[in-house]
This record gives sequence, structure tokens and C-alpha cells, in this order.
Amino acid sequence: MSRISMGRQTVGSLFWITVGVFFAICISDLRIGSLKRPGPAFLPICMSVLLISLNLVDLIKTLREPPKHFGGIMWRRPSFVLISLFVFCLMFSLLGFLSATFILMIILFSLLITPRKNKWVSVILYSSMTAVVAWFVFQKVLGIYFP
Amino acid sequence: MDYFSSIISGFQIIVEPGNFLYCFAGVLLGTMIGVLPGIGPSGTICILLPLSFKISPVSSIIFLSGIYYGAMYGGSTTSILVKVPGEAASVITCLDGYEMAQKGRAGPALGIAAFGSFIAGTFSVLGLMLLSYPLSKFALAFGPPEYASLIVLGMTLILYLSQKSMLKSLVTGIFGFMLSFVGMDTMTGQARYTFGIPYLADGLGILPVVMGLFGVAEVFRNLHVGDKLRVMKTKFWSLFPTRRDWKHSLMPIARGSILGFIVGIIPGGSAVLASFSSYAVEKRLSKSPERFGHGAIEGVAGPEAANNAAFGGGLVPLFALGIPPTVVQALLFAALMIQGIQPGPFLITEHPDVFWGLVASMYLGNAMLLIINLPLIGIWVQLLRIPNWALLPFILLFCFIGVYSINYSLFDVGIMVLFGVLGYLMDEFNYELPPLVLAFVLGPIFEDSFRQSLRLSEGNLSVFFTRPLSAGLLVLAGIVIFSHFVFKRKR
Repeated sequence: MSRISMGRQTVGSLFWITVGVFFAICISDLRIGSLKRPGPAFLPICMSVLLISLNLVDLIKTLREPPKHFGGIMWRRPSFVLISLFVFCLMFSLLGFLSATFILMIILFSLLITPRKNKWVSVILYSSMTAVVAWFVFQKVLGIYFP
Repeated sequence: MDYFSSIISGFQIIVEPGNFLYCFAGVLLGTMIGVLPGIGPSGTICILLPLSFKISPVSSIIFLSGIYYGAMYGGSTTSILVKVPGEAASVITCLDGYEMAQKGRAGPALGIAAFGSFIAGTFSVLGLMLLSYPLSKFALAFGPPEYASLIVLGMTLILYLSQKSMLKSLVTGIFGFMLSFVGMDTMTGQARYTFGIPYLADGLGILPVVMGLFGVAEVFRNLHVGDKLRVMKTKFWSLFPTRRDWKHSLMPIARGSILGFIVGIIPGGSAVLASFSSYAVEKRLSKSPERFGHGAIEGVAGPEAANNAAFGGGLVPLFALGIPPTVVQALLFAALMIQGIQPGPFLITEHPDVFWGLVASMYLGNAMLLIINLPLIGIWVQLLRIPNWALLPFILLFCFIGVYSINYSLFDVGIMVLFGVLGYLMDEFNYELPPLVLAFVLGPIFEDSFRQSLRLSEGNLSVFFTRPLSAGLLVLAGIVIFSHFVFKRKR
């Protein structure tokens, strides 16, 4: 058995069962057809049923075994980056590429650079440089349009 | 087919200043990426895919391919000097390469890795050149049932060769197929899983999906890696192997080249598998296997040759059949599709410039890599000093710009981020990503082939078993599944 605990396998199986059910429900209004004339829902339903079945079997097998600890998932930093990306997308439309990139880099560098003397000077300096270089290379040289 | 005049025309394409520069840029960037642990060649190709739209299909495929086989060269540098593999296929080189460096033999290790990669790379290009056209002619006999059966065999092999749980790989493969259903149904024109969102009418888009799974997810994974500088401590005097080193390495390089090429052709047969297989073979054939793991040069020569040869092998089914065997070839498949070129049996005849230009670029690229890698070792090692905090924000920004520039839509960026989260969680829960990507790419082909087969046969499933080619492919798939259960029971 791999290092991943049973708790995670249970959660994983439940997730995929939910995905299978969701996909099956969403396609239910389309025609399944027949073997002679398979409709647009034919393969999606087949795959959904297969996904649900496999994970049900795995779930039953997992539940019969002694439960184990779920284990931790490192979520703090990825969540922070996710929020910063969301903020970036909002700022991108409102303030434009250059300003939004500067803000994003400030957030990311402040998260990633370990605390040290003059950390914030480095953060602001690197953020400014990255934003300006990115703007120049992508907008001016490569001609990608940004708001 | 006149191979000589075709390869000459290929060289005429590659010596054009633009293509020459793209080849050089690709192999140089690939070497850098190979040296740097963290972001791998697949992630780099994902990130740079949108930029490749600005250039011609030939230049695009030359550039992107150069990144990959360049990374195979570069990955050995850190494996040998710092015992940190630059990319996954160089993991096995850490075992003996680093031991050689510890004994003051880093130079010959690096030299034999570079020469072995060059020989294997050249061999695999020759194989690609000689095999693709005959195989593409053979593939013209393929109809919808054969294509559907071939994809079933391909996915079966990918599952069989998965590094983690086969069941989990099957689950992600099925999910990949399901994702490919998003958009308009090609046969009826009806919208599936679009939820009324116009952007989803054309489907999810391969680029946001792969850039999320491999680019953004990779950034999330590396957020927890420390930003301590990695410093080289080993000195070396000469990069050229001795006569004795060559004596011990020639046959491993030859075997690694052939093994890597064959493994590369098989769906799921990645460079990682090729290098591990080569190491196992060399250890098995060695008269003194106890030396392996303690600085045996064969443990560097064979695997490094194999991982380079695997790339050329992987291009054979891509160009001849239109079936990408691994994620990297799937990305090249996507690059060609987006440029309006359909990989498959007709590609070599309809777009000879793409195929022969790539073949010629691989000959030239392998030579460039040999010249770049050896004298510039010191510079490559300095790249290891770039801390994560500098790389990761830049990679994230690059991903954003790359995906945004496809359709100038933040919706694509949202898809990318969503798949970034999914990719990160899938890795945490031990699910493999390659089956998902391959199924996503092959899904539309499989569905069309399957439905067409049923229509042609009036709903008779025996069409897959009564046509000899299709039956043969399904029998092979059955043998693979059967052998998995037989070996599992024996264990």
C-alpha cells in the first residue's frame, strides 16, 4: 500500500463519484441514441457510469479496511497565491497590465522571500523591475494587447 | 520515398536564419530548463506554446522540440554535480553520476552523458526518418474501427505503464475523456456541458488545461520548497572520457539508444521509463553489477542515451498515426492542431516541410547541444543559484500572459487556474496527470471513430473484432490487461 492514507482514498473516490454524477445529470437532457445511431450523450453517459462504478467499488473496498488518518495538505501558500491571482485578474481589467503586475509581484515576492533585512526594499525593487520588463517584452516587443 | 532529397530539403529549411535561431533558442532554453530543478520541459513547453503561434508551424515545432530534447541533455548536469535531477528522466543518473563526481570523475561523467545523448539522439532521428513514412502508409489502411482500437490499446498501455495505481490512472483517463466532451458535438452540433457559456462552445481548450495542470500546479508544488541556494562543490579537470571509459560505455550507449527509441514509440513509454529500463538492463548484463550505485559509468551512459532516444521514438506514432504517446508529444500535437496542421498519416505528404524540417533540426540540434553543454557547464551550474522566489512569480506571470494571449480572455485564465488547483490536488492525492492529458487530446478522435464505426456497422460491435487490424490491436490490449493481472497475482 502506498504512503497515501485510506482517508484520502475515501475522499478521492467520493470526489470522482460526485464528478461522475454531475456529468451524467448535465448530459441527461440530450439524446443517448442507440448502438445503431449513438447520440451526443452516448459516450458521456457510458464514461460517467464507468467513473461512478470504478470509484464505488474502490470506495466499498476502502471502507472495509481500517480507517486511517487523512494527513495534511499544504494549503496556506497555494491559497494565498490563488487569492492573489484573483485580485490580479480584477486589477488587470481596472488598472491595466503594468499596475496589476506590480501589485501581483509585490504580493508574491512578499510571500516567497524569506524575512531578512531590507526585505521590503527588495520586494518593491524586484516587483517594479519585473512589471516593467514584462510590459516591455510582451506588449512592446511581442505586441500582445493588454488593457 | 527519396529520403536523401527529403533530408536535403529539410536542411534547406533549417539553415534559414529564422529556423536556425529557433532551433538554437529551443535547445539553449531546454538545457537551462533541464538544469533547473522545479519546472520541467513539459511545463516549459506549455508556458511557451502560446508564443509559438506568432511564428510559422515549422519554426514552432522546431523550437518546442528543441526545448524537450535540450532538457534531456541539461538534466544530467545537476544529477551528476549536485545529486538533484534537473528533470524526472535524469533521476537514475543521480545514482552513479554523483558517485563518479564524488570520486573526482565528474568530467568524464558529464562528457559521457553528453556524447551518449548525442549518439542516441542522432540514432533516434535516423529511426524517426526511416520508420515514419512506411508506418504512415500502413496507417492509411486504418478506418474508424482501427483508430478507435488503436486509442484503446494506447490508453491501455499508458495505464499499464503508470508509475502509481493503475486504477487511479484509469479514473484520470476517464475524466480526461469526459473533459473532451465539453463543447459542440461534432456529429449533431448540439452543445454539451457548456452551461450557456459561449466560451465553452469550442471546448475547454488544450492550452489552459495543460498550462494549469503542469504550469500553475507546478508553481503550487514548489511553493513549499526552500529558497536556499544550491552550491556546486565538485571540481573537475577534463570533460573528455578516457579510452577505458569509452570501452565501458559504447555498448550501454548502443543498447540505451535502441531501448529508448522502442520505449518512446509505445504509448506511455516516457523518457523516465526508458532511462530506468536502461539502468536495469545494464546492471543485469554487467559482469560486475555490484559497481552500480557506486560510480559505474555504464549507469550514466545507458540511461542518458535512453532518455534522449525516447523523444525521437515518441515522434514516430505522432507523425505516422496522429497518436501522441506521451504528454510531450500531446503538447506538440496541440501546437500543430492550433496551427491548422492535423498530425497523422497525411502529414508527411501534405506538410513535408514540417516533418523534414523537424528531422533536420534534430540532427543539428543534437550537434548544437554537444557544443553548448560541454564548454558551458560552469555557466549552467550557476543557474542553480537562482532561488525559487525569483523563478515562481515569473513562471506564474508567464502562464497568465500565455493563456490570456490566446483569445484575450480572462475566462481562459480562470480555466487555467481551476486546472492548476485540480492538478495540485490530484498530485497530493496520488493521481497521475499524463493519462488525463492524453485522454483529453485523444477523446475527440476516439469518440468520432467509435460513433462512426457503429454507424457504419449498423450498431454491430463485432466490427471491432471482425476487421483484422482492429482485432489485432484489441487482442494486444487484452494481452496487456491479462499480463497485468497475472503478474499482480504472482506478486
